[in-house]
Amino acid sequence: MEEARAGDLHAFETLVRRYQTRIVNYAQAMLRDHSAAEDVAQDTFVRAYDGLARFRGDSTFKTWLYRIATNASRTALDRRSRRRHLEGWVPVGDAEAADADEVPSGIPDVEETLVVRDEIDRALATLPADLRVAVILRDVEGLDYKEIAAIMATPIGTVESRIFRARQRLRPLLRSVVGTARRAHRV
Amino acid sequence: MNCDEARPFIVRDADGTLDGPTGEVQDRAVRLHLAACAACRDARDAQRAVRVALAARPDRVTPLDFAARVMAKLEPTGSWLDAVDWRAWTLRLAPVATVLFLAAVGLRTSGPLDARQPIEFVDLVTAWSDDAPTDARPTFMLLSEVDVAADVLLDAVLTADPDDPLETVP
Repeated sequence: MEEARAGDLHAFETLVRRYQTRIVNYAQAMLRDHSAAEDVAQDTFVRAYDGLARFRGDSTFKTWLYRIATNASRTALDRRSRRRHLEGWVPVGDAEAADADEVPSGIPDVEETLVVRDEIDRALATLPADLRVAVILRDVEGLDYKEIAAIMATPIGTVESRIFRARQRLRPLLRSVVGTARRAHRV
Repeated sequence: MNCDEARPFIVRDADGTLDGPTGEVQDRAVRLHLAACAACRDARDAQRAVRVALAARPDRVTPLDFAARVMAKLEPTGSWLDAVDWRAWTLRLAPVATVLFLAAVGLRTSGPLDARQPIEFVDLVTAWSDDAPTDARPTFMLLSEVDVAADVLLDAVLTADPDDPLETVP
Protein backbone atom coordinates (compact mmCIF):
# COMPACT_ATOMS: atom_id res chain seq x y z
CA MET A 1 0.00 0.00 0.00
CA GLU A 2 2.75 2.47 0.96
CA GLU A 3 4.66 1.59 -2.20
CA ALA A 4 1.56 2.27 -4.30
CA ARG A 5 1.14 5.62 -2.54
CA ALA A 6 4.71 6.48 -3.43
CA GLY A 7 3.80 6.06 -7.11
CA ASP A 8 4.97 2.47 -7.58
CA LEU A 9 2.82 1.29 -10.50
CA HIS A 10 3.70 -2.35 -9.96
CA ALA A 11 2.47 -2.15 -6.36
CA PHE A 12 -0.74 -0.49 -7.51
CA GLU A 13 -1.28 -3.18 -10.14
CA THR A 14 -1.09 -5.75 -7.33
CA LEU A 15 -3.90 -3.89 -5.55
CA VAL A 16 -5.95 -3.79 -8.76
CA ARG A 17 -5.59 -7.54 -9.20
CA ARG A 18 -6.53 -8.17 -5.56
CA TYR A 19 -9.77 -6.17 -5.69
CA GLN A 20 -10.80 -6.26 -9.36
CA THR A 21 -13.23 -9.18 -9.05
CA ARG A 22 -15.03 -7.60 -6.09
CA ILE A 23 -15.29 -4.15 -7.65
CA VAL A 24 -16.41 -5.42 -11.06
CA ASN A 25 -19.06 -7.60 -9.41
CA TYR A 26 -20.23 -4.81 -7.16
CA ALA A 27 -20.61 -2.48 -10.14
CA GLN A 28 -22.38 -5.24 -12.09
CA ALA A 29 -24.87 -5.77 -9.25
CA MET A 30 -25.43 -2.03 -9.04
CA LEU A 31 -25.86 -1.40 -12.78
CA ARG A 32 -26.93 -4.75 -14.30
CA ASP A 33 -24.89 -3.95 -17.38
CA HIS A 34 -21.52 -5.62 -17.77
CA SER A 35 -20.05 -3.05 -20.13
CA ALA A 36 -21.03 -0.14 -17.89
CA ALA A 37 -19.86 -2.13 -14.86
CA GLU A 38 -16.38 -2.57 -16.33
CA ASP A 39 -16.22 1.12 -17.17
CA VAL A 40 -17.22 2.02 -13.62
CA ALA A 41 -14.73 -0.45 -12.14
CA GLN A 42 -11.92 0.94 -14.30
CA ASP A 43 -12.92 4.47 -13.37
CA THR A 44 -12.87 3.43 -9.71
CA PHE A 45 -9.27 2.25 -9.88
CA VAL A 46 -8.14 5.27 -11.89
CA ARG A 47 -9.75 7.61 -9.34
CA ALA A 48 -8.20 5.61 -6.53
CA TYR A 49 -4.77 5.95 -8.10
CA ASP A 50 -5.23 9.69 -8.60
CA GLY A 51 -6.37 10.08 -4.99
CA LEU A 52 -3.83 7.78 -3.33
CA ALA A 53 -1.80 10.72 -2.06
CA ARG A 54 -4.91 12.08 -0.34
CA PHE A 55 -5.88 8.71 1.19
CA ARG A 56 -5.27 9.28 4.90
CA GLY A 57 -5.79 5.71 6.00
CA ASP A 58 -8.75 6.59 8.29
CA SER A 59 -10.58 3.69 6.65
CA THR A 60 -9.21 0.55 5.08
CA PHE A 61 -8.21 0.64 1.44
CA LYS A 62 -11.04 -1.78 0.68
CA THR A 63 -13.66 0.47 2.29
CA TRP A 64 -12.25 3.50 0.51
CA LEU A 65 -12.33 1.64 -2.83
CA TYR A 66 -15.97 0.64 -2.29
CA ARG A 67 -16.84 4.25 -1.50
CA ILE A 68 -15.32 5.39 -4.79
CA ALA A 69 -17.10 2.57 -6.63
CA THR A 70 -20.39 3.51 -4.96
CA ASN A 71 -20.09 7.12 -6.08
CA ALA A 72 -19.06 6.11 -9.60
CA SER A 73 -21.97 3.64 -9.84
CA ARG A 74 -24.49 6.19 -8.62
CA THR A 75 -23.18 8.72 -11.13
CA ALA A 76 -23.54 6.14 -13.89
CA LEU A 77 -27.08 5.31 -12.73
CA ASP A 78 -28.06 8.99 -12.70
CA ARG A 79 -26.58 9.53 -16.15
CA ARG A 80 -28.41 6.49 -17.52
CA SER A 81 -31.63 7.58 -15.92
CA ARG A 82 -31.38 11.06 -17.46
CA ARG A 83 -30.54 9.62 -20.87
CA ARG A 84 -33.51 7.23 -20.75
CA HIS A 85 -35.76 10.02 -19.64
CA LEU A 86 -34.70 12.12 -22.63
CA GLU A 87 -35.05 9.18 -25.03
CA GLY A 88 -38.42 8.11 -23.64
CA TRP A 89 -37.00 4.66 -22.86
CA VAL A 90 -39.47 1.89 -22.03
CA PRO A 91 -38.19 -1.31 -20.36
CA VAL A 92 -38.69 -4.33 -22.61
CA GLY A 93 -38.32 -7.55 -20.67
CA ASP A 94 -34.89 -9.06 -20.98
CA ALA A 95 -33.45 -6.44 -23.28
CA GLU A 96 -30.98 -5.60 -20.56
CA ALA A 97 -29.87 -9.15 -19.86
CA ALA A 98 -26.35 -8.04 -20.45
CA ASP A 99 -24.46 -11.27 -20.28
CA ALA A 100 -25.78 -12.91 -23.40
CA ASP A 101 -22.34 -12.80 -25.01
CA GLU A 102 -20.92 -14.59 -22.00
CA VAL A 103 -23.07 -17.70 -22.40
CA PRO A 104 -21.24 -20.66 -23.89
CA SER A 105 -24.13 -22.53 -25.48
CA GLY A 106 -24.96 -26.06 -24.47
CA ILE A 107 -23.46 -25.94 -20.96
CA PRO A 108 -26.46 -26.15 -18.61
CA ASP A 109 -24.60 -25.27 -15.38
CA VAL A 110 -23.15 -22.13 -16.89
CA GLU A 111 -26.48 -21.09 -18.30
CA GLU A 112 -28.18 -21.67 -14.95
CA THR A 113 -25.51 -19.60 -13.23
CA LEU A 114 -26.11 -16.72 -15.60
CA VAL A 115 -29.88 -16.99 -15.23
CA VAL A 116 -29.64 -16.92 -11.42
CA ARG A 117 -27.30 -13.96 -11.45
CA ASP A 118 -29.45 -12.04 -13.87
CA GLU A 119 -32.57 -12.77 -11.86
CA ILE A 120 -30.89 -11.42 -8.75
CA ASP A 121 -29.55 -8.37 -10.57
CA ARG A 122 -32.95 -7.69 -12.08
CA ALA A 123 -34.54 -7.77 -8.63
CA LEU A 124 -31.82 -5.50 -7.23
CA ALA A 125 -32.40 -3.04 -10.08
CA THR A 126 -35.93 -2.40 -8.78
CA LEU A 127 -34.61 -0.95 -5.52
CA PRO A 128 -33.94 2.73 -4.89
CA ALA A 129 -30.21 3.44 -4.94
CA ASP A 130 -29.81 3.83 -1.16
CA LEU A 131 -31.43 0.46 -0.42
CA ARG A 132 -29.57 -1.19 -3.30
CA VAL A 133 -26.16 -0.02 -2.14
CA ALA A 134 -26.79 -1.14 1.45
CA VAL A 135 -28.09 -4.61 0.65
CA ILE A 136 -25.47 -5.34 -2.02
CA LEU A 137 -22.62 -4.31 0.27
CA ARG A 138 -24.01 -6.46 3.07
CA ASP A 139 -25.38 -9.56 1.38
CA VAL A 140 -23.47 -9.78 -1.91
CA GLU A 141 -20.15 -8.28 -0.89
CA GLY A 142 -20.23 -9.44 2.72
CA LEU A 143 -19.12 -6.18 4.35
CA ASP A 144 -20.01 -5.57 8.00
CA TYR A 145 -22.34 -2.85 9.21
CA LYS A 146 -19.58 -0.56 10.38
CA GLU A 147 -17.89 -0.67 6.97
CA ILE A 148 -21.16 -0.02 5.17
CA ALA A 149 -21.92 2.92 7.45
CA ALA A 150 -18.50 4.39 6.61
CA ILE A 151 -19.00 3.89 2.87
CA MET A 152 -22.49 5.39 2.87
CA ALA A 153 -21.59 8.07 5.43
CA THR A 154 -24.70 7.22 7.50
CA PRO A 155 -25.26 5.91 11.04
CA ILE A 156 -25.31 2.14 11.54
CA GLY A 157 -29.00 2.29 12.51
CA THR A 158 -29.83 3.79 9.11
CA VAL A 159 -27.86 1.04 7.40
CA GLU A 160 -29.79 -1.64 9.33
CA SER A 161 -33.09 -0.02 8.43
CA ARG A 162 -32.18 0.19 4.73
CA ILE A 163 -31.10 -3.46 4.63
CA PHE A 164 -34.29 -4.52 6.37
CA ARG A 165 -36.48 -2.66 3.86
CA ALA A 166 -34.41 -3.83 0.90
CA ARG A 167 -34.78 -7.48 1.88
CA GLN A 168 -38.51 -7.03 2.43
CA ARG A 169 -38.88 -5.69 -1.10
CA LEU A 170 -36.66 -8.38 -2.62
CA ARG A 171 -38.41 -11.31 -0.97
CA PRO A 172 -41.29 -11.65 -3.46
CA LEU A 173 -38.98 -11.03 -6.42
CA LEU A 174 -36.53 -13.76 -5.49
CA ARG A 175 -38.84 -16.66 -4.70
CA SER A 176 -37.33 -18.98 -7.30
CA VAL A 177 -33.77 -18.02 -6.43
CA VAL A 178 -34.49 -18.39 -2.71
CA GLY A 179 -35.58 -21.98 -3.28
CA THR A 180 -32.43 -22.75 -5.28
CA ALA A 181 -30.18 -21.06 -2.76
CA ARG A 182 -31.81 -22.91 0.16
CA ARG A 183 -31.23 -26.25 -1.53
CA ALA A 184 -27.63 -25.32 -2.27
CA HIS A 185 -27.21 -24.04 1.29
CA ARG A 186 -28.47 -27.34 2.69
CA VAL A 187 -26.03 -29.31 0.51
CA MET B 1 -39.87 -5.52 23.92
CA ASN B 2 -42.50 -4.98 21.21
CA CYS B 3 -42.31 -5.61 17.43
CA ASP B 4 -41.13 -2.08 16.54
CA GLU B 5 -38.37 -2.27 19.10
CA ALA B 6 -37.37 -5.72 17.86
CA ARG B 7 -37.17 -4.77 14.19
CA PRO B 8 -33.58 -3.42 14.13
CA PHE B 9 -32.39 -6.58 15.82
CA ILE B 10 -34.27 -8.85 13.42
CA VAL B 11 -31.86 -7.78 10.67
CA ARG B 12 -28.87 -8.76 12.75
CA ASP B 13 -30.46 -11.99 13.93
CA ALA B 14 -31.05 -12.93 10.29
CA ASP B 15 -27.36 -12.28 9.64
CA GLY B 16 -26.27 -14.23 12.69
CA THR B 17 -24.63 -11.06 14.04
CA LEU B 18 -26.99 -10.39 16.94
CA ASP B 19 -24.16 -10.89 19.38
CA GLY B 20 -22.37 -7.63 19.25
CA PRO B 21 -22.85 -4.09 20.44
CA THR B 22 -26.35 -4.79 21.74
CA GLY B 23 -25.12 -6.62 24.81
CA GLU B 24 -26.33 -9.79 26.46
CA VAL B 25 -29.41 -8.32 28.13
CA GLN B 26 -30.61 -6.83 24.85
CA ASP B 27 -29.93 -10.06 22.99
CA ARG B 28 -31.96 -12.05 25.52
CA ALA B 29 -34.88 -9.62 25.20
CA VAL B 30 -34.82 -9.95 21.38
CA ARG B 31 -34.73 -13.73 21.53
CA LEU B 32 -37.60 -13.84 24.03
CA HIS B 33 -39.65 -11.61 21.75
CA LEU B 34 -38.90 -13.74 18.69
CA ALA B 35 -39.85 -16.88 20.58
CA ALA B 36 -43.19 -15.34 21.45
CA CYS B 37 -43.99 -13.44 18.20
CA ALA B 38 -44.74 -15.46 15.05
CA ALA B 39 -44.87 -12.33 12.83
CA CYS B 40 -41.37 -11.27 13.83
CA ARG B 41 -40.12 -14.83 13.38
CA ASP B 42 -41.55 -14.85 9.85
CA ALA B 43 -39.95 -11.49 9.14
CA ARG B 44 -36.62 -12.79 10.44
CA ASP B 45 -36.88 -15.96 8.31
CA ALA B 46 -37.74 -13.92 5.22
CA GLN B 47 -34.74 -11.69 5.83
CA ARG B 48 -32.54 -14.73 6.23
CA ALA B 49 -33.82 -16.34 3.01
CA VAL B 50 -33.05 -13.23 0.96
CA ARG B 51 -29.66 -12.96 2.57
CA VAL B 52 -28.81 -16.57 1.66
CA ALA B 53 -30.02 -16.05 -1.92
CA LEU B 54 -27.96 -12.89 -2.41
CA ALA B 55 -24.89 -14.45 -0.86
CA ALA B 56 -25.16 -17.23 -3.44
CA ARG B 57 -25.14 -14.78 -6.37
CA PRO B 58 -22.54 -16.13 -8.80
CA ASP B 59 -19.62 -13.79 -9.46
CA ARG B 60 -18.98 -12.49 -12.93
CA VAL B 61 -15.68 -13.60 -14.40
CA THR B 62 -13.42 -10.58 -14.62
CA PRO B 63 -11.80 -10.21 -18.07
CA LEU B 64 -8.18 -11.37 -18.09
CA ASP B 65 -6.94 -8.05 -19.42
CA PHE B 66 -8.88 -5.92 -16.94
CA ALA B 67 -5.87 -4.95 -14.81
CA ALA B 68 -3.80 -4.23 -17.92
CA ARG B 69 -6.52 -1.91 -19.23
CA VAL B 70 -6.63 -0.06 -15.91
CA MET B 71 -2.85 0.31 -15.84
CA ALA B 72 -2.86 1.63 -19.41
CA LYS B 73 -5.11 4.47 -18.26
CA LEU B 74 -2.80 5.57 -15.48
CA GLU B 75 -0.20 8.28 -15.85
CA PRO B 76 2.93 7.55 -13.87
CA THR B 77 3.69 10.13 -11.21
CA GLY B 78 7.29 10.36 -12.48
CA SER B 79 10.71 10.09 -10.92
CA TRP B 80 13.76 12.28 -10.40
CA LEU B 81 15.06 11.22 -13.82
CA ASP B 82 12.31 13.31 -15.40
CA ALA B 83 13.95 16.43 -13.94
CA VAL B 84 17.07 15.91 -16.01
CA ASP B 85 15.29 14.90 -19.20
CA TRP B 86 16.15 17.82 -21.53
CA ARG B 87 13.55 16.71 -24.06
CA ALA B 88 10.78 17.05 -21.48
CA TRP B 89 12.07 20.46 -20.43
CA THR B 90 12.34 21.60 -24.05
CA LEU B 91 8.73 20.74 -24.66
CA ARG B 92 7.55 22.31 -21.41
CA LEU B 93 9.49 25.54 -22.02
CA ALA B 94 8.49 25.90 -25.68
CA PRO B 95 5.40 28.03 -24.89
CA VAL B 96 7.45 30.32 -22.65
CA ALA B 97 10.07 30.75 -25.37
CA THR B 98 7.37 31.54 -27.91
CA VAL B 99 5.84 34.21 -25.69
CA LEU B 100 9.23 35.82 -25.06
CA PHE B 101 10.02 35.84 -28.80
CA LEU B 102 6.68 37.41 -29.70
CA ALA B 103 7.13 40.04 -26.99
CA ALA B 104 10.57 40.93 -28.34
CA VAL B 105 9.26 41.23 -31.90
CA GLY B 106 6.37 43.39 -30.69
CA LEU B 107 8.69 45.80 -28.88
CA ARG B 108 10.96 46.07 -31.91
CA THR B 109 8.14 46.99 -34.27
CA SER B 110 6.21 49.31 -31.96
CA GLY B 111 9.17 51.61 -31.19
CA PRO B 112 12.95 51.44 -31.69
CA LEU B 113 15.07 51.07 -28.62
CA ASP B 114 17.50 53.68 -30.11
CA ALA B 115 15.42 56.82 -30.61
CA ARG B 116 17.96 58.58 -32.81
CA GLN B 117 16.62 58.97 -36.37
CA PRO B 118 18.90 59.18 -39.44
CA ILE B 119 19.40 62.75 -40.68
CA GLU B 120 18.34 63.40 -44.25
CA PHE B 121 20.59 65.77 -46.23
CA VAL B 122 17.61 67.72 -47.58
CA ASP B 123 16.31 68.38 -44.07
CA LEU B 124 19.74 69.51 -43.02
CA VAL B 125 20.02 72.06 -45.83
CA THR B 126 16.47 73.29 -45.25
CA ALA B 127 17.11 73.80 -41.57
CA TRP B 128 20.36 75.64 -42.26
CA SER B 129 18.92 77.89 -44.95
CA ASP B 130 16.11 78.95 -42.60
CA ASP B 131 18.42 79.95 -39.75
CA ALA B 132 21.85 80.83 -41.14
CA PRO B 133 23.00 84.20 -42.51
CA THR B 134 22.94 84.40 -46.29
CA ASP B 135 26.72 84.53 -46.73
CA ALA B 136 27.46 81.70 -44.35
CA ARG B 137 27.46 78.04 -45.19
CA PRO B 138 27.46 74.93 -43.04
CA THR B 139 30.67 73.08 -42.39
CA PHE B 140 29.51 69.95 -44.09
CA MET B 141 29.04 71.86 -47.36
CA LEU B 142 32.83 72.09 -47.65
CA LEU B 143 32.93 68.35 -48.28
CA SER B 144 30.98 68.72 -51.52
CA GLU B 145 32.93 71.70 -52.84
CA VAL B 146 35.60 71.11 -55.45
CA ASP B 147 37.80 74.17 -55.13
CA VAL B 148 38.02 74.47 -51.38
CA ALA B 149 41.47 75.25 -50.01
CA ALA B 150 43.14 72.35 -48.28
CA ASP B 151 43.94 74.31 -45.12
CA VAL B 152 40.30 75.50 -44.86
CA LEU B 153 39.03 71.95 -45.28
CA LEU B 154 41.52 70.65 -42.70
CA ASP B 155 40.58 73.36 -40.24
CA ALA B 156 36.89 72.65 -40.73
CA VAL B 157 37.31 68.94 -40.16
CA LEU B 158 39.47 69.43 -37.06
CA THR B 159 37.37 72.12 -35.42
CA ALA B 160 33.85 71.22 -36.48
CA ASP B 161 31.43 70.24 -33.72
CA PRO B 162 30.10 66.76 -34.56
CA ASP B 163 26.92 67.41 -32.56
CA ASP B 164 26.14 70.58 -34.51
CA PRO B 165 26.06 69.81 -38.22
CA LEU B 166 24.67 73.27 -38.95
CA GLU B 167 27.71 75.04 -37.57
CA THR B 168 28.72 77.55 -40.15
CA VAL B 169 32.03 78.46 -41.60
CA PRO B 170 32.77 81.94 -43.05
